[in-house]
Amino acid sequence: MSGDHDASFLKPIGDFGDGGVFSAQWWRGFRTEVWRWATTLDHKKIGLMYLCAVLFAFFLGGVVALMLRMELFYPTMIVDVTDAAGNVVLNDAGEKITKTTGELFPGWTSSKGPVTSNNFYNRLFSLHGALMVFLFIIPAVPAAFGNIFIPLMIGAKDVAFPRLNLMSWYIYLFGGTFAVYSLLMGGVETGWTFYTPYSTSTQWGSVTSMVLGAFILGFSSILTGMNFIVTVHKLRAPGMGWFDMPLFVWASYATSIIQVLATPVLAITLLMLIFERTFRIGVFDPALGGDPVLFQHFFWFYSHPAVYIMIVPAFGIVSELIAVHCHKRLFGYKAIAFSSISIASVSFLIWGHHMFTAESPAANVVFSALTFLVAIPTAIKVFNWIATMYKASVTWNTPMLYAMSFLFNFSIGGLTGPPHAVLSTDIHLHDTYFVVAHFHYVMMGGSVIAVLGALHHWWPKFTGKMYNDKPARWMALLVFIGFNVTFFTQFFLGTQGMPRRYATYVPEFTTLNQISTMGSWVLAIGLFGHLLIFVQSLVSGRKAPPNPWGGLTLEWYTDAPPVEHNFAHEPVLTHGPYDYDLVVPPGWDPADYPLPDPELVRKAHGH
Amino acid sequence: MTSVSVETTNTAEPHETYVHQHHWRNADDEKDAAKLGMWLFLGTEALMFSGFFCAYAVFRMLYPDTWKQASDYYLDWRIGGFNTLVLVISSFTIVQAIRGAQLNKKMMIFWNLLATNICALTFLVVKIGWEYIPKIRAGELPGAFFTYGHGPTGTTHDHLFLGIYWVATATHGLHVLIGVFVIGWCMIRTMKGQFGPKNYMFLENTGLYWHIVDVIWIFLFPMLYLV
Amino acid sequence: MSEHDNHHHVTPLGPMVFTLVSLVVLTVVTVLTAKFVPLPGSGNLILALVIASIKGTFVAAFFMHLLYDKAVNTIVVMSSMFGVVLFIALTMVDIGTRKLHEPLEAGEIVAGGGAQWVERDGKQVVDYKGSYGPSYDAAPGKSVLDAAREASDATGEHAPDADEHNAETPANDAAHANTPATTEHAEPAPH
Ligand code: HEM
Ligand SMILES: [Cu+2]
Repeated sequence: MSGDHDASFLKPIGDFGDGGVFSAQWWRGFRTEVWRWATTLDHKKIGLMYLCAVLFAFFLGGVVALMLRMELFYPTMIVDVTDAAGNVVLNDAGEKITKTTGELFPGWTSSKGPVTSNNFYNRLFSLHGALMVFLFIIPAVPAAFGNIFIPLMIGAKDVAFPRLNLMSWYIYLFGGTFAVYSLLMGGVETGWTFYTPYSTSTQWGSVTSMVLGAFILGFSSILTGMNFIVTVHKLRAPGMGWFDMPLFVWASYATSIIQVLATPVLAITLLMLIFERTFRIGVFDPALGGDPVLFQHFFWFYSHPAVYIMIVPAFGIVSELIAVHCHKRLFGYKAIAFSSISIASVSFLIWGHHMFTAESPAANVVFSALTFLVAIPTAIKVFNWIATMYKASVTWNTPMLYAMSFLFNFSIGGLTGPPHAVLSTDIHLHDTYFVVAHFHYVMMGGSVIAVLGALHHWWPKFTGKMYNDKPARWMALLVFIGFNVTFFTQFFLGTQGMPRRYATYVPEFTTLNQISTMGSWVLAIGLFGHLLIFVQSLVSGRKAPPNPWGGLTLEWYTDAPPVEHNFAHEPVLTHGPYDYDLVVPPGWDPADYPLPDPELVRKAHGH
Repeated sequence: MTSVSVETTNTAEPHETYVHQHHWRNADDEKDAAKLGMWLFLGTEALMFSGFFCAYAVFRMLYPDTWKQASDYYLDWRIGGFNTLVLVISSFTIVQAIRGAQLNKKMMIFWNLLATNICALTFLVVKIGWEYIPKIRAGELPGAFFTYGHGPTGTTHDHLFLGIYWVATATHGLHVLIGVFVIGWCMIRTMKGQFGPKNYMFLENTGLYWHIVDVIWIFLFPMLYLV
Repeated sequence: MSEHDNHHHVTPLGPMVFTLVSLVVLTVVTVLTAKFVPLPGSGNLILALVIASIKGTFVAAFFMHLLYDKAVNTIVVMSSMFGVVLFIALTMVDIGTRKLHEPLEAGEIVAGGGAQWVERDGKQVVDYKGSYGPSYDAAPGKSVLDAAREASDATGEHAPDADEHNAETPANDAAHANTPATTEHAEPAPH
């Protein structure tokens, strides 16, 4: 292995000379560095590259989301009707004809035909969904944070298969490039779900290459999952049994199981879609005796478990955040650990709840009944987190605020799941904004908020810099408010019957839509503020101590940023991950960061 | 506890030198991990093929009669049966190759791998020469390229059957082809003396992969050719 | 750690030969029963699949060493089989219990299936011969919503709802309505 074993993994080894930027020597050093990162087998570097990539995807998807909300700010516009050449069309009496439209976006004529603003809206929401799901949130926690922190938390030097890890990163890049390419070259109008028959019959856009992109991204996800399962099985530090693992590792393990078992079905689904489009194998084509609804089974067999790929690692993050910032042993460790595994198992039984309007009544009943099951382990987690916070001495810093934000939002998101699982209500709610609000509460309010919490929680660890906590707290508040304003309104819209995936709506929905759009601006400001704070931290942040929050899991036992091989000496576990009542956290120095006195912490929960 | 990174070298058997990667505590862990990883991969293979099986099951259930007609008409069970036997035998020979490694008999590994690859190639030649090419000539192809004229069912179920037949067997055939290359690579490594009683993980994983290819065919064969 | 001991596992020959022989025999049995012993209903299919499962289990247990290996590998196999069975079974629960509005019917056989290459504007394009359900026709100068409203005014009912019909997708009404292949588009006005 290259590099100095005691140096931080971020320390450059290239010789940049002192000729300043762009001198020949600087370029040589730069090339060395680029090559070193591009070929690295170090899980931390790979994870960091993933992190940058997923955050970039999040940025792109976010910009598109703002555009979508912009479109929905105006319900209708009255415009002149023009013909294909752009001339205003007059009626027989020689008057201008006007039409009412929600089409804020200008249309244009492409080589394949006219692109109306409705088409454009369709493309944008498809782009938004595909970017956010396949490029951002699915790899965000497992591939980015999982890569960096699972080996650190279990005291390993690396993941089980470092080369496979690098390969999955390149597959991700390749698939991502494919996807972005096809979204730019015509885009898709199918939504992220690629439902047949529209996706097989449309000659519009680049459905085939987009589907191929998602197919490739799936492999990256499978490889990551395989790698982590083996890592957790085989590379735990001496002394670390299954129940000494941090809950983030448990959650990631459960996620990996889903990734490994569900993603291959996505692969075959998308492959069949491609075959259907290119060879017309007929499986999804009613004209050949096939069944378009079969596609929905195929798709949701993956995609329902996939929503747990998005949320279960977030559960893990929240367990860490709450334990560390409450300085308290987690209530019901085993219950939380097992609930992750049971969510993973149950998630395979309930995909049919996305098809209540499309499948047979018998299947409806089966899937509806099974769907309620998943709420149980989810609720177990929430109750345990709340029980942990009870009478704890909480440090109200940014990560903890995000944990609270998660609890609030996720509870709303989770509790609006069961109404969907009730057949009679779902017939009304299906494909309305209620569904949109539900899944944004779980995916944005849950997963993304947890990602933001994790970023703040582990930022000092992987960058070695502190960030400015006070403005970050304000931004966390803005994000919370912005998010809720944006999406809570959509519950009302949904129950009143506003369907999803339309560029316009009847004027009755105007007020709520405009409030929602304004919420999205607040949200954007909050996120942008976080970006600035992080940039400031990188440029001029205070050097971080190894353990700024007083955590007990193994990642806090190494330097910030960690050394090349993670630990100077192989760690041997001597205490559990949350033994705050028994152990004083390593390097606990209140001067580094204002934290309550450990004695007080211990008194707070009666030891 | 310190991590041992180099195993003791046995000079009598040069291919016994085995250095495990630095992040493992010992070679046994590494071996177990490689195997577990392979099994997970095989699990994903099974789930991937389950898409074809599911599509098959659904349409077999919806159109039992036409499905059977199409199967009898388009596919010759003798070819499928022969290929099944070939794959079964190749599964056995690759097991023998692994035994060769365990017993430290280089040529036993080599000959068995060769036999495996000959079986694999036979499979492909029979499949392509006796099935694919005649079918392509006759136009018995998936929907968009179907030019066969009037099939046995007289309905579009012909398209459907052939569609599933083509994508399932072609995907399986691709796996066989990949297997041929990996086994070929194993043969090279055998001749370089890289496999021995302590170091045959790669060989064993190749074997596992080869067996799953066999097992998938064991299911595809009766489903497509027989019932 | 066992890294220095000289004990390694050597695959026993006997069980392997036994497996080979039974695989061959079972293959023959499959063919014979399927071809020459007609069973009622799906009997032959079930029998063939049971035999195939036995064969698969033999391969996994002996050839693939599961019998001699760590249990975790078996658990991996079991859980992926669980996934496969679930996938197929629950999908069939739906498809098998549908009461179709109009039973699925295969179309008449044509070369190229529903898809035909036709010449349009001097270019070869695939025409799908209207395999798919109806779509709104948004005439020039009318938005989809307008069309739907008019339909609703005319009938006094809801606008046609794609969800009501099994063979249609509820996915993407808006997108559907804008399919360039089927719809004439109003050129939007510059704003
Ligand atoms: C707490 C238990 C949950 C239940 C009972 C539940 C139930 C449902 C149901 C029945 C639907 C279908 C609604 C419809 O289309 O009519 C749905 C949609 C959805 N849910 Fe959940 N859900 C739960 C949690 C989650 C979580 C944790 C996530 C993600 C992190 C999630 C993500 C989604 C998404 C993305 C959709 C919509 C997908 C689409 O149509 O594009 N759900 N949920
Ligand atoms: Cu779901």
